[in-house]
Amino acid sequence: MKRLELRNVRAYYRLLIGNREADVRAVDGVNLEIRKGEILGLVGESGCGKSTLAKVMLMNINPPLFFKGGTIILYTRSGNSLEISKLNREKLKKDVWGKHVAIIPQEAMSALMPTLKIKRIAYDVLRSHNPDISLDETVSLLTKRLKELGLPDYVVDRYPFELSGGMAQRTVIAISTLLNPEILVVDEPTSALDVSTQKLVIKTLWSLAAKGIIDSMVFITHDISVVRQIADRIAVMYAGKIVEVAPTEDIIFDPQHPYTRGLIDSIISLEPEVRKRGLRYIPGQPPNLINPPQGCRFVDRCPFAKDICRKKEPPLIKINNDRLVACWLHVKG
Amino acid sequence: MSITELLYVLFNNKRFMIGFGIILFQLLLSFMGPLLYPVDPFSTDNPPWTPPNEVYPLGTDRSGRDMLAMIFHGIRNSLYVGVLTGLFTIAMGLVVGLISGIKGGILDEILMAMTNIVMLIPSVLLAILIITYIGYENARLELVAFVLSITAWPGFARAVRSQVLSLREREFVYLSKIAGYNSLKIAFQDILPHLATFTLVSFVNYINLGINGEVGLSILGLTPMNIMTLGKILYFAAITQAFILGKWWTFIPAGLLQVLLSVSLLLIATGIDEVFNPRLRGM
Amino acid sequence: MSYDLLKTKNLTKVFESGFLRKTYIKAVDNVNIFLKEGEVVSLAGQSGSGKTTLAKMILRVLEPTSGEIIFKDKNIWRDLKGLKDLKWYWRNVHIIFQNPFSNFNPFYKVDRTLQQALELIGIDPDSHEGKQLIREALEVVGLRPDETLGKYPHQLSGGQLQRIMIARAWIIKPKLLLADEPVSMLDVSTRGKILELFLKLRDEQKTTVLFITHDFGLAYAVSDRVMIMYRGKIIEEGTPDEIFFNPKHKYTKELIESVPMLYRKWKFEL
Repeated sequence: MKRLELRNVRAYYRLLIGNREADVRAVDGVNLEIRKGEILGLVGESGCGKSTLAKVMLMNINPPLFFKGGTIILYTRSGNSLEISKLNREKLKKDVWGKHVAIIPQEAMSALMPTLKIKRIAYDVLRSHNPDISLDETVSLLTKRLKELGLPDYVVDRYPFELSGGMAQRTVIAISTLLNPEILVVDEPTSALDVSTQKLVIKTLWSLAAKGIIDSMVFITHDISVVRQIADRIAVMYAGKIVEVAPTEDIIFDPQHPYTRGLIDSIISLEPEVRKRGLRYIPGQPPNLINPPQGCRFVDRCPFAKDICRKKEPPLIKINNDRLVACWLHVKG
Repeated sequence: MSITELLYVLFNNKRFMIGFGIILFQLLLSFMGPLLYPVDPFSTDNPPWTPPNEVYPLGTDRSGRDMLAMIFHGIRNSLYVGVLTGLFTIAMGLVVGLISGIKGGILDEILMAMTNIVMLIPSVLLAILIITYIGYENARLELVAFVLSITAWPGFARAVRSQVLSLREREFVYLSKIAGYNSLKIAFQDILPHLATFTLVSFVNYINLGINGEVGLSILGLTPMNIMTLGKILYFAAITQAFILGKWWTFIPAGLLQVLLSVSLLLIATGIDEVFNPRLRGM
Repeated sequence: MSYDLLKTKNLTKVFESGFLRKTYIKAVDNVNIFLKEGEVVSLAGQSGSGKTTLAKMILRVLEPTSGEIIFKDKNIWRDLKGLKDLKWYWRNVHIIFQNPFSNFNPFYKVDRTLQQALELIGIDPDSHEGKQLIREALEVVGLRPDETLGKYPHQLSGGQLQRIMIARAWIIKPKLLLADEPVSMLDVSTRGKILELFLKLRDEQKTTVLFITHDFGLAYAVSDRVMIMYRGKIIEEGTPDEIFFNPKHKYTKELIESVPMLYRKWKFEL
């Protein structure tokens, strides 16, 4: 069963370079589904459009980013389907954000209002959805949720700056999911943290899903070693497109797209296999998204490039029961 | 961005263009005016208190001085004082701020103590003291500009110093240092270019300060008597009680031009700021 | 390979802050390390452990509160006098910083960074020899000179900029290269190339590389020797296998348990 479906979604940044206008095709024809009850890892390198996709999939779009086309459908727990790509901002704010979907952007920790206690912040969040709620109700809800996630309840009466980085991030996660949204999107939740706090944040995210507080999660990161710890499936993004989607173990142990393979091989982790394998890398650089190549976007860095790769864009096709790859190597005939 | 692209953006900025247009218009007045209308602004051969007519387009004042001629010369000299004040202030501020920021240590403490002391001196009081000491008969426009900038530079010096302090910790400065560059070379090559925009904006603002300051000193009668400035015109209007007598042509045009000059300089400063500091765009 | 290229004796740096009531922070606390010729040594630790402070003292741009740094029998904070001595030192000890973009002054073309290197070793950057050296160095790090020279930093990628920094080191040929998190801001797919270049410097020029990192995986992959820094102190030192697969110190053990692995999955329990 699906929770969110993206069909041929495109979103561009409009830039003014000197006196010319140009579009950066940050998300360019993405097809993706987020299933009920899964944690989907969305990985890619800087500038591939993953953070943009995070905003776009929830229609949280601000200039210079604009929605170019495509369809995004949300399937709620109650069985309704909602085409959120057709809704305006007011409607999204009132009916969708916070209630059905929540996003924790990259800079969330530092965005906590420094002059308000955590309970007031949570109160403001809840009140924007339900004007009748009282501060006491908020506190009891928040305390219960913190306990569920294994966080100490003194947090409620603290100011944001009194919390350590990891604690602040976990508190943000708790507050953002107070209304039990179906889908939670987290963008690089651990990149500013040390490894020991990183593990705690990952565990908090995992328990959100394991306890059914949220239904599905999209975990966006550049660090495959982190996301592989909790993701059920991983989608790999390159230059504005999804190039491969597969169950986590398949991506790690048997990558099919040449880019995924290059990326997995480039990872340097604290493991004997990796030291034995030696240093690897992908030569070249990702294409300019103002003027992307017409064929496959990985063609200039791909060791298996064929004629057709330069001419035609490879479709994202199913190669076995649960695996999608966009590469001409896998197109039969 | 290349220089031509920057200029393109700058000349597409509304504020900058309006300000620039006004300044250009006033510059044109001050340079072309005396050529097309060669009348001595100090000559008292004309009938006094003449309202504007065909012979005297802007009338005359009590002593019979031609207002239009006074204005043509006044704008030019006011702008001169302004630019000079800007130059003096920027020069003093940059030198003190750069040395303080780059050298640090005891030199920094001495310079900053000095800056703080100068900041406490009331500017008008200092101006009165200096000019009465020298004697305003001997005073020249350069002295007026100098007196105005003496109390203006500390603010700029402090701002420069604090920017240098943060730039000094940037990696590329360390890399120049370990390539064997001395402080002077680092100051000129690595640090000054980063201060260019801020300095330019400040320069425009200090021109403004100079023009307005000159008016203030003129009203107090502290500027040279034999040089026409916008402030001087207003001074003459004040001492002849033109305001009370309702001789509007002796102060309204000059006052208006003065305000316009000030506004246009502000517009230019914010325009430059907007272009070089994109965060301000669209606000 | 037997003598110490550089060593520190009880090196300490205390930062003080506050005006009336001073607080003191010991960023580097009584550190004794040694570096031998031609080895890659990792200095690994979490943020705030004092790694960068230690590097800046070794680079001789930050004065220690107490202790000594000895390079080739010279106490660098006592025996080096005047610009000539300092230039000699910086020809021997150089650095590459973390952020590829702030390594370059945005007002100048990237060429400047390489020309500075030539000036440091006393070669005229405009001479034929100088130009030739720059081209050679760029080719060594896998960049095409014609596509690199004449560009401004923002026109190149982080990986390319970091390679230019290594080209600079290649020209200077320092005995000791401090690399402060040189790949942590780069994409995973380009890191390998940069790291390979450090090993190349070690193998072909006998350069000692002090590789400063918070990433244990990187430290494990490139080092001949590893030092773990924690709260200003070196708490453990040894070969990568000793440190990461048989750690002695409690802190090291805890950290290693938190490092996410590619081929191994954590088990969480509710």
